[in-house]
Amino acid sequence: MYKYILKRLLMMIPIIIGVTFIIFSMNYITPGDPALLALGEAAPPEAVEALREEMGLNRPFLVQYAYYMINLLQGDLGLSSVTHRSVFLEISDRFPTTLALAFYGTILSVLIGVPLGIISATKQYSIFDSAATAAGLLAVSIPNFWLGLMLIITFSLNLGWLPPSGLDHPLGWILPIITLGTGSAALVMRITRSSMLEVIRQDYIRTARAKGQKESIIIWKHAFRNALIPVVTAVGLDFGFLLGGAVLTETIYALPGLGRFMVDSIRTRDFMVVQGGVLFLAIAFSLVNLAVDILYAYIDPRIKSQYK
Amino acid sequence: MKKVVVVLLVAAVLGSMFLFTGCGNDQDVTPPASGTTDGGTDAGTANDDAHLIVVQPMMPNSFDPSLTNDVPSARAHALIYQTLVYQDHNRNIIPGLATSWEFLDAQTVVFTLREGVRFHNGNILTADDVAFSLNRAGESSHIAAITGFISEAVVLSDHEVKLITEEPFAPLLNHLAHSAASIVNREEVERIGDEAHGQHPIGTGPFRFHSFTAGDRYELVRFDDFNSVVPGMAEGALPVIEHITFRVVPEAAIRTIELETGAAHILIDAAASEVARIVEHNDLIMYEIPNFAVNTWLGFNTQRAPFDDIRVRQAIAYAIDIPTIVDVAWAGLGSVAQGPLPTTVRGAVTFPPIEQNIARARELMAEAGLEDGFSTDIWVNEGNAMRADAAVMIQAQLRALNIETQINIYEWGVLLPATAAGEHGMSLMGWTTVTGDPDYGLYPVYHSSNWGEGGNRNFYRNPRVDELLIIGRTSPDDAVRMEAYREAQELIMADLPLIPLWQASELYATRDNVGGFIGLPTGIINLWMVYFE
Repeated sequence: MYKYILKRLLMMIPIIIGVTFIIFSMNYITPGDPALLALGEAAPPEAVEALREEMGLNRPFLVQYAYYMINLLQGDLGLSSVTHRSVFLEISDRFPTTLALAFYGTILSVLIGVPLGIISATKQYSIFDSAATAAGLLAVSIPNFWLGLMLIITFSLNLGWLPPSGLDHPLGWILPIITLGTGSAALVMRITRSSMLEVIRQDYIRTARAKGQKESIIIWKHAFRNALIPVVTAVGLDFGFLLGGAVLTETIYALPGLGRFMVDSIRTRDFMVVQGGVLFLAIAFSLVNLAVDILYAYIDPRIKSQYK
Repeated sequence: MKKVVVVLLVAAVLGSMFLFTGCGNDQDVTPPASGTTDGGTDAGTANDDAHLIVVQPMMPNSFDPSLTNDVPSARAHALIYQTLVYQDHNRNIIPGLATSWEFLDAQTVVFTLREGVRFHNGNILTADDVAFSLNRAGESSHIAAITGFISEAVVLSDHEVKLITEEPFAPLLNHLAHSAASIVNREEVERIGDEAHGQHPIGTGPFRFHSFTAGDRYELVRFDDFNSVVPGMAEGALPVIEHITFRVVPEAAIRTIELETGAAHILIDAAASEVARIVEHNDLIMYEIPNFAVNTWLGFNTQRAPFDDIRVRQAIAYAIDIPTIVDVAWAGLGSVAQGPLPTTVRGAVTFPPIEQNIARARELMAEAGLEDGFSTDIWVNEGNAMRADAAVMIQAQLRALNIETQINIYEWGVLLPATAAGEHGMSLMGWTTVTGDPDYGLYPVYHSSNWGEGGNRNFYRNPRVDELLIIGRTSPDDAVRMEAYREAQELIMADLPLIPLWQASELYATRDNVGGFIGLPTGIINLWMVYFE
């Protein structure tokens, strides 16, 4: 198992190098002059040219990439061309907020989605199942920004129970987590339901019932555990996506997260930040995938035996 | 055993989450101070009655004045630092850190400095700090539009600095009143370096920097040893407000809710769509302050057919209904632009509105041999819904002249280089005269030496206008300057390289218990004047 984890960690190296090359190439071919955007339209052309030179933008592509990689290997992600702060600082200042938001959003989606999915599957075609399916469809369809705005108007403006934005108070987390977790909860519910439906039709479940096993034990011990693999996969992927994709939630609730910062940086062609941010997210995504694979082994011992 | 491990693991993750988010990323000011601290009120203990909370859409890019020129940064710089001179609320130049100044010749001016002024780290302001700051600003590409005229600043004595310009530069004092020319503490900058100074600024202003959280907020506290002057506040006086928190709230609707719920006291950049709601609210006050921007014009690429023919430009001016476009696209806010300069800028000439006259427009098109019309494009920047709406209205109104217009909406990163390269037919763009002097509003946009990237994206050339703009830029005689600018504006409006459409306003709102609020056309707020009623 440890050998497998080490192998996976080593495999991340070429992946990360590939990611840096792809994102560097994409930045290079993206139209727009970072120096001009950093200085604004009022800047004299000679000032723009001087900054271009200072930022190394006049060098050939491969030379620029080589410089970037050399600095990266020394742990230097460069400076933001907009804020003039170290990219590492900029990212590490914002990543905890995004990580916490994605984590709590995922927890909420699991707490809601898994039980609802199980009940829907065990009571297939019941009123509860239909209601849960309709609610899930609604939750997936509601745009994040609209849901966020409605929650703020209801709970902050009209009822005055929760702060409208920011994290000054721990209660400030509640609305963003609900906003982010609602769509994911619906996804988790649907996957849990379909996975459970497949499992509870298996012969071993029928055998357990024939043996007179209690229904709750059949569902939780035999069925749910075997239905978990697709659910864990979906939750892991969703968590990975939320790390980089919580832009709207971060914007509505004025949360200083990485997603909003990355979008702003793309607009201002702050390439060092974009490269650093993508690299950070790629590593985080790879680690989440690794964690999911390790979880498989705990859920299904047959998989563990394949990890060598 | 496995269960225990899982529970411990989950507890560790949850704990680390709280640790991450709880520790936050506050950047405190204390570490870099090698000298004495000012002994001002600590932000944590500030009296709530004197704690002002401001919401704005963006964070400053940097707290170092030589590293950036964006408005949120300038707003912070104006509170933390001081400049040699200021513009008062009537646009007159008044003393700041300099008590007086004397022009030795067209390129040399000597400033006498105020004595005994303290920096936030306890150091006393010297001529060396001023010369260092001005030379640093003059070398910075980030603020070259404001301070690029500086050739050299030389220390003459403990309280005298000589400033030499590259060439005669008449609007020098207006440029020095801009926050980009703020005075920094040499010792501090050299000790901690530019990057750190951008995060732990030391100035002489009425508020000292306390902390910032990246992407979220920054906090200032009153500098209790402040002993200088700022516009509107008596010498020796201190601000009433002890502690200011600037929070970033990107969404306009949420900024309004923050104000409505009392979570914030001042709102910066109200959205046009929010104005009616704010005005109707009993506890809020709306401020609409005309700013230094002809925010939007319809520009022509005058070097490209058919816009190289003045009759076509005039025909388009007659074909569009400017008051209706402004009223609909900008929801009745701001006003119809009355000339190349916003009316708030000294020396602006106001021209009568161009009234829609389709018959005359058709005549002009016929004279130009284009009665069957032509196809062209309008370039607009992405993210500006008002300009996009205006483009759609112009597109519809030009059909009366058989002109088919394609609207190209691009983000700034694409739009700026493309319009600088002259790829457009028409464009909806604008310009802000940040210094309040006509030179800044006219020279980059209309002088032929600035074609393309320099700011003249309409590729306009009129040798007489070029000549007049140089006179305005270099003449030491203010009357001569203003006369040159008057004639230049008349020639520009006759040539119509662009049709001025909309003059913008700064939109602020406050709670009704906020007194002393004065917003400036620059987008800067003199928060040292503010108090709670």
